[in-house]
Amino acid sequence: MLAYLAATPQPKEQFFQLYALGENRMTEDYYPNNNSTIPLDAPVKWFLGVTNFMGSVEYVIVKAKLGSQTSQPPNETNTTPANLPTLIEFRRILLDNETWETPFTWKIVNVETKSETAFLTLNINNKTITVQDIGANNGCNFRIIFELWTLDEETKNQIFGWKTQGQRRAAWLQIWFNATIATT
Amino acid sequence: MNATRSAVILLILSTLFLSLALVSAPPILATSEQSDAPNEIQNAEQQFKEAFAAVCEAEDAGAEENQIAALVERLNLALNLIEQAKRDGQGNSSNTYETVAQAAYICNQLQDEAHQLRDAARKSSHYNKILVFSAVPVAALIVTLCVHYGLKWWRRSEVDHVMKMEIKEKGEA
Repeated sequence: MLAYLAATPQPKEQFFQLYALGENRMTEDYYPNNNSTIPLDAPVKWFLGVTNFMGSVEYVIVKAKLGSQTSQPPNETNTTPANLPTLIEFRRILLDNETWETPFTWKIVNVETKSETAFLTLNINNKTITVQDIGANNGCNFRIIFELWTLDEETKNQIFGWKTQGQRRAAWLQIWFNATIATT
Repeated sequence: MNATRSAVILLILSTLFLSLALVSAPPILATSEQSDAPNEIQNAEQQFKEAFAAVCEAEDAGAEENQIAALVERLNLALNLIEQAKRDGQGNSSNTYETVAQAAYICNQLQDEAHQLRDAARKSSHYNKILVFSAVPVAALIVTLCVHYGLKWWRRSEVDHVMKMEIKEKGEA
């Protein structure tokens, strides 16, 4: 019995790590010229990373969403994602203890202003997306939210966060920015 | 009269439901690509999910890490092909059909290989269990015999030690 207990590995904590790095793959230089007000057509380069500490092969999805100051962010307590449009998503199968990084290059290609509220057209990894319903006053305090989703083994559906020992956990992050509005 | 009233109520209710659905829907997003995946892509995605489940089963059954890593590498290849097909178009071009077919083929192959790996791992695990269960009594018997004869030898050596003792006068030595 003692030998069995000694040979049985201790249960380890199961979790994911989600991070975003600047253009030099460090936690700095997130904006061109270190200015969070992004001019039109200025390329912004980030790196998104996920590490799997779940102890098994996992299917991960990182969803990027555009929000403003008034948008409801994801809720970790009841594990609800942000009710915002998904701009782009990245999917990957990860081995245990594997880290995966992917570039996230974007720029603002157009800003449409309606009564001082700015609406953006973005180009993310060469995909052009117009977000019609998310606007920010004078282009201030936009944010890109990254959510980590996984494939639930039981239901075979995508879920926000992951399940571990009968509980749901979630990981998300956000990076704020302002959009430059052309003055006439 | 009653029919007209029912029709009016039905119209109000359906308008109410429709507006509720529109209010609760996430904000509008217009992309340069359409998001309607054609059937081929959906089928490939379904096959991908099945292949992924098969790989997970193989891992749970105790397949070796390097074998799982090789399957995962090809799973990611299939995933990239599906993503590429989505980007290329809506499944209308022959190129997209080809990409989707390639992804589906890889997924099918992976599913078969993962099942074989799972079965082999289960079989190996079964033999290991039998080996462990048969080795435990043998090991216990060996340990018991060793302890028994060890103790016996120790007692005899103690008795011999006592028997070899001599009585000597004090100060003689």
